[in-house]
Amino acid sequence: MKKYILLISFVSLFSGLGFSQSDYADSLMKGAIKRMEKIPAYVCDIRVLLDVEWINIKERTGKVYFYPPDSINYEIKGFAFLPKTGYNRQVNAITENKYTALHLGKELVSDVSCDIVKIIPSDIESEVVLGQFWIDKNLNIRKMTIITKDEGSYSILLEYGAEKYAVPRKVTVTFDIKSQELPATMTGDVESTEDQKPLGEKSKGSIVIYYSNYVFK
Amino acid sequence: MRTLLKIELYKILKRPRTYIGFGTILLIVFALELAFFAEGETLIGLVFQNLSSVFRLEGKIITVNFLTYMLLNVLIIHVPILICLVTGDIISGESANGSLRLLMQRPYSRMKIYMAKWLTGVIYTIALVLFLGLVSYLLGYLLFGNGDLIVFRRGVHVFETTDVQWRFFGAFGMGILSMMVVASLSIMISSFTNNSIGPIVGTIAILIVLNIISTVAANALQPVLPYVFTTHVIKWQYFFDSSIDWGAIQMGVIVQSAYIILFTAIGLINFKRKDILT
Repeated sequence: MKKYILLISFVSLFSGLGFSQSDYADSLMKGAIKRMEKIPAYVCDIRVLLDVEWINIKERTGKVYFYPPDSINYEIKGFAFLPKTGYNRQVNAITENKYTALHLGKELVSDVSCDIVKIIPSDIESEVVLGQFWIDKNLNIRKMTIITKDEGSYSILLEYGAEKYAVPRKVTVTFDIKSQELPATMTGDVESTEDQKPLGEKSKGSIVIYYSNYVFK
Repeated sequence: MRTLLKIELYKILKRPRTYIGFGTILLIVFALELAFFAEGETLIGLVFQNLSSVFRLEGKIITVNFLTYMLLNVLIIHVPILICLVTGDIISGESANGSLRLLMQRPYSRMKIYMAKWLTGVIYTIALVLFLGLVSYLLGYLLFGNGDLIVFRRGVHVFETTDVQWRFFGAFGMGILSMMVVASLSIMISSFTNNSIGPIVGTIAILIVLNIISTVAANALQPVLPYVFTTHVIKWQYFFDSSIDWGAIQMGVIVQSAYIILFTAIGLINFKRKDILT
């Protein structure tokens, strides 16, 4: 009998701890989302730098127009490679349906102490399999890592300036990318390509976007 | 010499086959650019399939610069054939119809006659390549407007509009040099025969064989390939690399210039010794 009481107490204690951990993580996540939701429509200048081994493109400059909750329009001079979606949309995508939040402790991100929150979507069909967020004491998301079903994984590192809202001054998106080779008949590149990387070989790439001169509406 | 050149240019302008090249280029340019105008997004979709799964692609992909670059690829196969049609006939054609003997009776040295014909061939070659560039650019500008150039060559290169013009000048210059080798070769062969078909088919056959050998036996012939002129026909593409291999371009210029001199010298020597019996 004593054994059963001990076992029940043990299970209750740990499930209780788990519940409070999940609650804390959830409150952090919801707080961060709420802070992001407060961002009004804005326009700002951007500088975009792409770093992919087999893509050569110079820095691009332009403007970005943000409309709440997560719509982004770019006005770039010339052609540019940009992140597929804005960071706001990433956060909304993973948290709009049921999920489980876990608190995994604390870690320094760019010298700022952050709580680590892991988000596991409940929907098995969800495109996002897993998300991990590093949230600072002001409820700014400093870093996020997203693992998707079809499009691999990517990390977004956010650095903030002195703006009133949770808008970054620098965003670094790091992702996996496969090397690409096209038929010579399409590209005209009929030379021997021995020095090229094997087709489909994965490598890391990054896009760095600097934001400045925010004008909130 | 100037009079001779004028006569040769007049003769070339009077021949209907001179305009086949320009007509063909016009057709190729119109067909490709109109196809891109109608279904450009679908055509280009395959090329950008992989990239668009990772990136949001912002800005115009199909621009006048993109299409002019695409159309420069006809320099590899199509334009040499069109050049041979005219330059391959420049001596042998006259030899076949008997007008060469009449020309020889004029008080001009054989060297001057040969060089006038060679110069006419070169002028035709330059005109054809520039026509390709001009038509591609004008129609492309009209249909697609200006914009950055995206090149798929050992990766992806994106060039700003301000960084494109000098590359096209270099590429067209290199293309003209390559086509001058073809013209010199066919004029040289033309000096050996008395019928028009031989030099035209002969030059095309040499180009095809060398291209096939260079592609199929690329590894085995690696030490020899830098000295084969067909290897350098694609050197214009080097102007569209982010970091240009000037050494390779220099090598291309030297080798191709050497072939122009060699073919012209052989043709000239043969022409000077040639018995004109027809």
